[in-house]
Parts: sequence; C-alpha cells; structure tokens
Amino acid sequence: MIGDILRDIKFSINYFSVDNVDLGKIGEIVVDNANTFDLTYAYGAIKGGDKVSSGLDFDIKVADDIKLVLGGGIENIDYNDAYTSGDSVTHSYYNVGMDYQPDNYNNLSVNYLKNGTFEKYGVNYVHDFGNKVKASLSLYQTHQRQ
Amino acid sequence: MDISGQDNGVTLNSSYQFSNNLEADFGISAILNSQIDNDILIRAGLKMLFASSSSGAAISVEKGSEFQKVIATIVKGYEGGKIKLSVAQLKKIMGINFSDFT
Repeated sequence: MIGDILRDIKFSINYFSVDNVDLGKIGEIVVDNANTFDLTYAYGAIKGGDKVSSGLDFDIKVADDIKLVLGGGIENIDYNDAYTSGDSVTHSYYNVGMDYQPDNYNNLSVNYLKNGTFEKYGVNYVHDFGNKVKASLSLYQTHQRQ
Repeated sequence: MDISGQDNGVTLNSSYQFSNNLEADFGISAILNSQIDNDILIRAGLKMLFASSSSGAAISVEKGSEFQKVIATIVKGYEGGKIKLSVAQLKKIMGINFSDFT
C-alpha cells in the first residue's frame, strides 16, 4: 500500500424551501451538506479531480414538531487517472431524512443518503443548553461498493 | 482495485453563539473500521449572518491524519426559498494496492 493524494474542488447550488426571506437562526445555515461533500468517488489511482453538483432540497413540515427532509440532484466528476488521460462521470444522488424537534432545546434527526455506489446512514442529536451553547452527537455508517 | 469498504463514525460537536449574527463551532470525529485506517478529525467553523438576516456566510476547516477539507458557503434568501453556493477543497491520502495493477 502506498499513499496517493486526491484533491477535489466541488461546487454546489442548493435551493431550500422556506417560508420567508429570513434565513432563520444562524445555526440553521448548512455548512457541510453530506450530499455534496463526502469522500465518495475514487475509481482506480486518481491523481485529482473536479466535481460539480447541483440539486434541490426540500424541508416539509408534516407536524408541529416533525419535518421531512428530501433532496436530490446530479453530479459531474472529471477526474485524472494516474494511468490514463482521465475520465468523466455523471450520476444522480438523493437523500431522505426526518427531523424531530419536540421543543426549543432538543432535536433528533435521522437521514439516509444514496450517492452512486456510496450509502450513508446517520442519526444526530442536538441539545441547546439555552445559554448560547449547543452540543451535538452524531453517529453514522457508510458503505461504498466498487 | 477494490476500494469498497465500510466506515463507522461518531462526531461530537459544540457551538457558541456570540450574537444573533455570529456563531462559532468546534467538533471532533472518530472514524472507525475504515478499510485504510482509523482516524480522528478535528473541525472548526464560523457562521455569519448579514444585514436583515437575508444573507449569510460560513466557513469550516476539517483536518485528520489523511484528510483535509475546507468549505466556504454563502447563502442568500429570497421569497419562498434560499439559494446556497458552496465551494470546497478536499485532500485525502488514499491507499493503493499495486498488486491490482500487475
């Protein structure tokens, strides 16, 4: 085994369904979206690559304290193989999730992502201590088949 | 070359909101049972909201022994939704088995 370096530059544009112009609480800005930023693809000895993805995400309120999260999109990856001139792959991805927030201090969510040969199952719990401090615990499992 | 595998991960994250428009967070993740190696990732991020909370930006840096990720995000709200543009750079050290090429 040796080490090689994979570098990806990824762009994504996501559209979120919300009620008004206000983005909401600052903590609701999504920083790291599993749909777009995961270590998913490596076919052969990759020297590097570029990935462009775009998709739609929807937050659907099904009850006062339950929200359904749906998302999907398409990705294109141009990668540079160590032994050829490179290749291009285009495929789709989707994710489903459920978000349960019984009060302002507790939030539990489960999610599933399918992205080509990559799958991710996750559960996340966030507790707001009410004094501007929040803490979260996440558990996840990934599968990648080639 | 077979790179299929399974990872199990656990992440602990905490955040502090300095004001309505500024929040910082810090996290640590453990990746277990990786086919290549186990790893510990450290992550730090900063989120900002701009005037009237109709736009925002965030940046986060995550680093492990074999992995580094930087994400910059800007968000703009419109009536009925919001649009997010994110740019990220990832760097990962991969394991390659040369026996697969012989």
